[in-house]
Formats: sequence, C-alpha cells, structure tokens
Amino acid sequence: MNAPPPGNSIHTTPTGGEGDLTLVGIVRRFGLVTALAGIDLAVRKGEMLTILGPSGSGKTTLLKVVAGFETPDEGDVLLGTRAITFATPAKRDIGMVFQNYALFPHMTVAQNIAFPLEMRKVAKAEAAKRVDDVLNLVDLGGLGDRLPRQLSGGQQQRAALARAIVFGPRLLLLDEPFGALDRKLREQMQLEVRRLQQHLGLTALFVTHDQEEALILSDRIAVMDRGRIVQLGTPQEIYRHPVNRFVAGFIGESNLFQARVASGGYAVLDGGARFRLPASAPPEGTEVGLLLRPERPRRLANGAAAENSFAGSVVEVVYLGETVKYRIRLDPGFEIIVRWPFQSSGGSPGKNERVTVGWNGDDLHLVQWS
Amino acid sequence: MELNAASRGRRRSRMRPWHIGLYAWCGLVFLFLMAPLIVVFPISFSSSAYLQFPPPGWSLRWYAAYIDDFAWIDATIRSLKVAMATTALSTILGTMLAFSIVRGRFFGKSTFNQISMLPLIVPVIIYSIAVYGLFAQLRLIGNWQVIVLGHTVHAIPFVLIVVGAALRTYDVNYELAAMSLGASRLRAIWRVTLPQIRPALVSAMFLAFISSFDELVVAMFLGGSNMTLPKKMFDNIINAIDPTIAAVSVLQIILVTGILIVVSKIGAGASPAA
Amino acid sequence: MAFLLAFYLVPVGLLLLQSVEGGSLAAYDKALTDGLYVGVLLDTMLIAAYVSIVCLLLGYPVAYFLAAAPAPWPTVGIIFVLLPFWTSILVRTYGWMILLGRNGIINRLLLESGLISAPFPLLNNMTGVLIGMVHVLLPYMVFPIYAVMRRVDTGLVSAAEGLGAPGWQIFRRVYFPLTLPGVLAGVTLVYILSIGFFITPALLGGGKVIMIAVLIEMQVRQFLNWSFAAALSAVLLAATLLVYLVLRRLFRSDLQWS
Repeated sequence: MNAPPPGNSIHTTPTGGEGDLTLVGIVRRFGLVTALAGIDLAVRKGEMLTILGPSGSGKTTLLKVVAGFETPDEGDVLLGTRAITFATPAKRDIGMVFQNYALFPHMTVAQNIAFPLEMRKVAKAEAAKRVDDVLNLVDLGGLGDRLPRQLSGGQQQRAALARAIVFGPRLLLLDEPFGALDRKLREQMQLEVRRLQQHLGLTALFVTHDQEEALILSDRIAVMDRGRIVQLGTPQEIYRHPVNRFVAGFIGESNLFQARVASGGYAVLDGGARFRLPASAPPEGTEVGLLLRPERPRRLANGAAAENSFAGSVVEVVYLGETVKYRIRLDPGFEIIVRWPFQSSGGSPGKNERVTVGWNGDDLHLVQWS
Repeated sequence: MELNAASRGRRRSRMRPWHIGLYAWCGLVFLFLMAPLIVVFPISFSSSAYLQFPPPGWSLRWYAAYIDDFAWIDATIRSLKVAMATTALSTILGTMLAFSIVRGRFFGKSTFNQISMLPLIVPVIIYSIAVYGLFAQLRLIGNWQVIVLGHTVHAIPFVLIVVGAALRTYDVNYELAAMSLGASRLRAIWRVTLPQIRPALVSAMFLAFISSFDELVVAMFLGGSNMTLPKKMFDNIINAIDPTIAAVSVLQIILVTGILIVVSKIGAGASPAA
Repeated sequence: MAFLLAFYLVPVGLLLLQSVEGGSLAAYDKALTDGLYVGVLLDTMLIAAYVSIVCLLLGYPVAYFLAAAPAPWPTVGIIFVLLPFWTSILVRTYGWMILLGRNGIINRLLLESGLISAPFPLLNNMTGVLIGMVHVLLPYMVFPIYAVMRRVDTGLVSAAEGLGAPGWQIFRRVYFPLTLPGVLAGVTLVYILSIGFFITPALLGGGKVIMIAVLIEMQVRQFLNWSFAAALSAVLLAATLLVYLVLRRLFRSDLQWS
C-alpha cells in the first residue's frame, strides 16, 4: 500500500467522543452452553485490540455481539457513549472485514465499495469520489471495474478492507481476515492493515486464533478461554507474564512445570527435582506452575554455574534458520525445549550429545496452575 | 504386459454386448417417451377432419380453427392469466417460506416443512373436491382468482424445493456483510441474497408456471363454465376427436421447449430431482 | 404458511369431516365392504403396482445411461426425459390416442405388416391406461435413481472388478445396493402418484377402468354424494400416507425429493 495522500477524505467521523468500544458484563447462553460468561472490555480510541483464543473460546460470539448479529442475554455494548446493545447491525456504524471477505460476487469492486455509501444515501458524485480515494488508498486504483473473483487473494482482502472503511465507521472489526492467505502474503497484509489502521486512527477489534498474528498486530491483546477474558495486556506483557497455565501454553512456546513451593526459595517438581524460584515466590506449600521460555536456558560450559543447572542429552534437533530448537532429556527425568542461535563452527550440539543447561530463578515465571 | 493387454481385450469384448443391449433398451424407452409428442405434429398439419395416418394432405386449417375459435382463445388467455398470477404468488410465498424454513430457528420447523410438502403427496383429486366443496359454499366457483389459489398451493412445494436448496448452500455471511454495511435485513436480502440465487428463482418460476398452465383437475372443479386450456382440451378429447387439439398440442410443446431452453441458459435445477 | 393453512389444510379437513356426516360411519362401511368399491380399491392398488414395476424396469437402465454414458448422450437423454415430463398430460394422452386407437398408427403398422389380422384393442382398456400412466410417471422413477447414481463412487465398482468379481455379481452385490435408496424413492413416488391418478384412467380407460380417483370424481359430479366421496378420499389419503411412511421408514432418511 502506498502512503496515503495528505488531506485524504477518508477518516474516522470527526464527531468527537472517545470513539471507544465498551463492553459491560456481556453474557450469552445457547441452551445449556454459556458462550460468553461476563465480558468486560474497553477498547481505546485508535487502538488495535485483539481477541485471541482457540476455537470454542467464545471469541466469534463476542464479535457477533459487537457487530449486532447476536443479542447478549445480559450486559451492554457501548460505542462512545451510545448504547448499541439492541441496535440493528445497519445502525451501528461499524465496518467489518469477514473471514472470507464476503465481497458480493455479482457486483464489481467499485459497486461493492459503494454499497455502504449507497445505503447511507450519499450523493452519487460524492460516493464515486470516495470510492476512488479509498481504492487508491488500498492500492487498488484502476481495478474498480473488476468482479471480486477476478482479483487475487490479497487484492480481495484489500477490497474488503476498503469497503469496511469507506463510510468512516467508528469501529473496524476484523474476523480472522488473514486465514485464507498464504504465509508470505499474510505477513505483508498484516503490516499493511496495521499501517492503515494507525494512519487513519481507526479503533479496531481484531479476532484471531493465531497467537503469532496477535503479537505482531496488536496494541493490546485480550486472551479468551471458555467464555471469559483471562488476561488483557500488551503483547509483551502477555508473552512475558502470562497469568495462568492456559495463557502461557497458548502464547509462544513454553516449558511448563507443575511444582510445590518448598522452604528456602525452592520449588519441588513431581519427579523430585528442585528449582530455585524468583524473588517474588509465594508462601511455602503453594501449588504453582513454572514457565520457562525456550530462549531463557543457557548452555553451560565446564565450570560455569547457574542457580538451576542440569545435565542431559539432546533428543531432537530442529533447524529453524537463525535459531535451532532442541529437545533435551535432563537427567532428573524431565524434558525441556530450548532455542539457541545457530553456530556454524561446530558450536551447536548434535543429536545424543551430552549438554549441561542452566537458568536462574528469575528466568522462571510463576503462573497459576489451575 | 501381454497378459494385461489380453485381459483388457477380453474385458472390452465382454462389455460390448451388454452395452449394446443397454443402449438399445434406452433408445426404445426414449422412443416410447417421445412418440406421443412426435405424432401430434403430422396430425396437426393434416387436411382431414378425421384421425387419419398418414394424413391424406397437408394444411394449416386446424391452426386457423384454433385462432378463429373464441372458446379456444378465451381458454388460452384464462390459462395464461392464471399461470402468471400463480407464478407470482407462489414464488413470493414459497420464497418467504423457504427463508423461514432454512434460516429460522423455531419449534416445529420440520412439521412445518412436511406440511408445506403435502400437496406433492396428497392426490390432487382429494384436494380438488375439498376446495370445490369449500368455494361452492362461498359461491366463488368460476372465478379465475380461485383457480390461482388452488394452483398456488400446488406450486409452493416446487418453489420451496428449488429455492430452499439454493438457500441451504448460500453463505449467510454475504447477507451479514450487507447488514454491517448499513442495509436493513430486507434490503440485504433484496440487494445481495436474491440476485445471487437468481438461477434458482428462475427455475422455481418456470416450475410454478408450467405446473399451473398444465393443471387440469383443480381447474376442472373450480373453473365452472369458465374453462382453462387444459379443461377445454379435456372436453375436446372426450367429446370429439378433432385435430384442432393437435394444433394446440404442437403450440404447447413449442412453448415448453422454448421455456426449457431459456431456463437451461439462466436457471438451475429445472428438474425436481436434479 | 397461513396461506397453506387457509387454503389447504382447512378445506381438506372440512372434506374429511363430511365423511362422518351425522356421526355415522355408514360411508366408510360402504367403501370398505361393498364388493364393487372394494374391487375398485384393489384394482387401483394393483394398477399402481404394475405401473411401479414397469417404470422401474424401463427407468433403471435409463437412469444408468444418463449417469454413465459418455459426454453428449446424458444431456440428450435428459432432454428426452424432461421434454415429455413438462409437456401437458393432455397433449401426451392425446398423442397416445393417435397411436393406440383402433385405426391408430400402431394397429395400422401391425395390420399392414401382416402380424395381426384384426385391430388389437389397445385403447379404452387396462393396456391403454397402463401405457399412459407409465409414460407420465417414468420421469418420476428416472430422476431419483439418476440422482443417487451420480453420487455412487465408481471407484467401488472398479474395486470389485479388480477383486475379480464377474459383471453380474458386481451389479447384484455392489452397484444395485448402492443405488437402492434411489430405487426406493422412485418406487414410492410412482406408487403414491399412481393410486391418486385421475386424468389418464379417465381418458384412456374409456369408462372401463375405474380407479379410485375416477370414482371420487363420479361421486361428486354425478351423484353429489359428498359423504361417500369424502370417505373414499379418506381411504385414499390413508393409503397414500401409509405407503409414504412405510417406505420412508425402510429408507431411514428423507426421500430424495430434491
């Protein structure tokens, strides 16, 4: 996407307010199943907030509640200061990009993009100008007369995005919009969407099950599990300090150990191994989860020391380009995954090689086990 | 290698006789199906007033007889009027019904569906005398509008089958997208859903039209002395075999062929089982 | 839906009520015990059975032809089936009268070729009715079978061939069972439509072949005997629904209406 021309006519509505989306105590049940068990969330103006969760976590239902395709059993949806809980989708002023784009196949790209303007009774000439502007903005200039099926996947995605923002919505919803693209195109589109969203200052709610995507794109991430938001924070916070085992396991690669806090700042694993804990350890006897990110452990040369150190042998080696992933079986009887930079001059261990690995108490992160 | 070729050769020679048998059998069945349609053509151009074959001479007198006879033309116009009204009414009602059955989430939906399909199963004669009894008491027999009502009942299942099948494979997200872009539900359906299932709608309208245009039994009871084309043909066959009906038949075959061609170009699922 | 309720269920319901006019079951008694009417009922069932069998014998190979023949032929075949299907029954019945009459084309050909010495009675009897009904109902047999055959995995047939099964065995043990749902749907459809048939027996039967639908019409139009007509209708309706439900149960899923 080119840098948009200055003074572009496509912008969020100038009418003030915080422009934010607020969800208050949203509950939605389907028969005996509770899809949303009390969601409270505030999306700040101009921020890209990602709802991240596995399928069945309730994220799609949440999106439908915001878009107006579902009505919550309890709770309220506010756009700025306006309650839209029971408003029809048409009256919400929300632009949405669908999973498969849902570009109307019987209309040209330009007709597709003009559709929301037509529904809002924007004058023909004005609408044509805005369609042109937005086509240029998403780098589809000159393709307005094509039918959606004549566009490539990436172009379809841009057309869908253009259609969702052309009428200057208060909020942009993105429902797993990159799923249909191949990996390379996906990364490119992610960056473009992000740049456009920031440039226009759009408030955006993005739903995905892809944690990598969430980390790249978001200002903040809300992780959902079984109808609840279990953690809300910046990508860094979520990655570094997951609140519980679910978040830790879902975001990034991790080694997770169940342990009981013992005396003297140690924890004891089921197998009997002892770990030095970080300074902020909970009281003795507590069941905790210990999270160790794979890039934290170091390989210890002879004589080097760490607060926790174990000898073991390499079980599996996976080359990932710049880094190498190892599965190492440690002598006390448990396995860990580590990631170390690739070293060409024979510095990287091979399969079945004996190694000593170590990490300090502060490398471990405490999470709730249950 | 040699064995392979030999076995293939043997298989081909084994397949051949029963394939020829199959094709011959099917040829005979197709002949059986087409024969009564084909024979009306020479008869319609016959110069004789009697059913003679081969005709003693050729003429267009039976086409002229059809056009000059007020009763035939009157019946034709009435049938066209009834069929068009039936098409409009059953397409609208059937499409609405298809939407509620495919999209709706309500109790008793399958019963609902079954009831809508009943007119396909329940013999026409039963329905015919039933509405005859009802409308006779209301003194409505003889109005063409009443025939439309009866025919609509029978056309609705066709519309429901064809439009319902199209709706079932239709991705609702298009409609949701239109709604999120500012269209009301009705407008979303009108602007986005209906244009996309247009082939099915065309087929449904064709089915409804033909089912009404050809229908005899309901029209016979409800029409009274105001005959539709099939009723006029029925009386003609019963009373005197006069080649005028052959001319009418030829015109009908041409009409159906024409509509079939049009629908195969723009429609979908023109046969109830395809 | 309200439309169907008002113009379908209500009139049919009212009609059925008339069959027990004055709280008496006399009309049913007459319909189910009088030898004359029982005869008509049995005749109707028998004719429907004949029609179903003949349709199956004619239709199954045709369906196979439509599903398996090489490129242009299926389309041509479908036109040959669809065109008569959409042509008015009256046109077709008239065509049969031209073909089957005493001086009709078929008798003329047979006489001239010297195969027979006197015209063969093909019209105004059971033969005529059967021919006419088979002609009308054959597409209802072909389409459901065809729809199922198109979904049959031809790999299974190849697999059976690969296992060395002879042709007849493949058909009997593999292909036919796979197409059975279509056959059942076709037979059900044809049988149900047959027992309620009116136009063909009325025209080609020449008053000699009375099926139950013809009988009902006569009771209403000629004798104005509403309660008896209603009772006959109830019997016909019951028979129809019974056949439908039994065959549907056999089939264990929805009939292939579409």
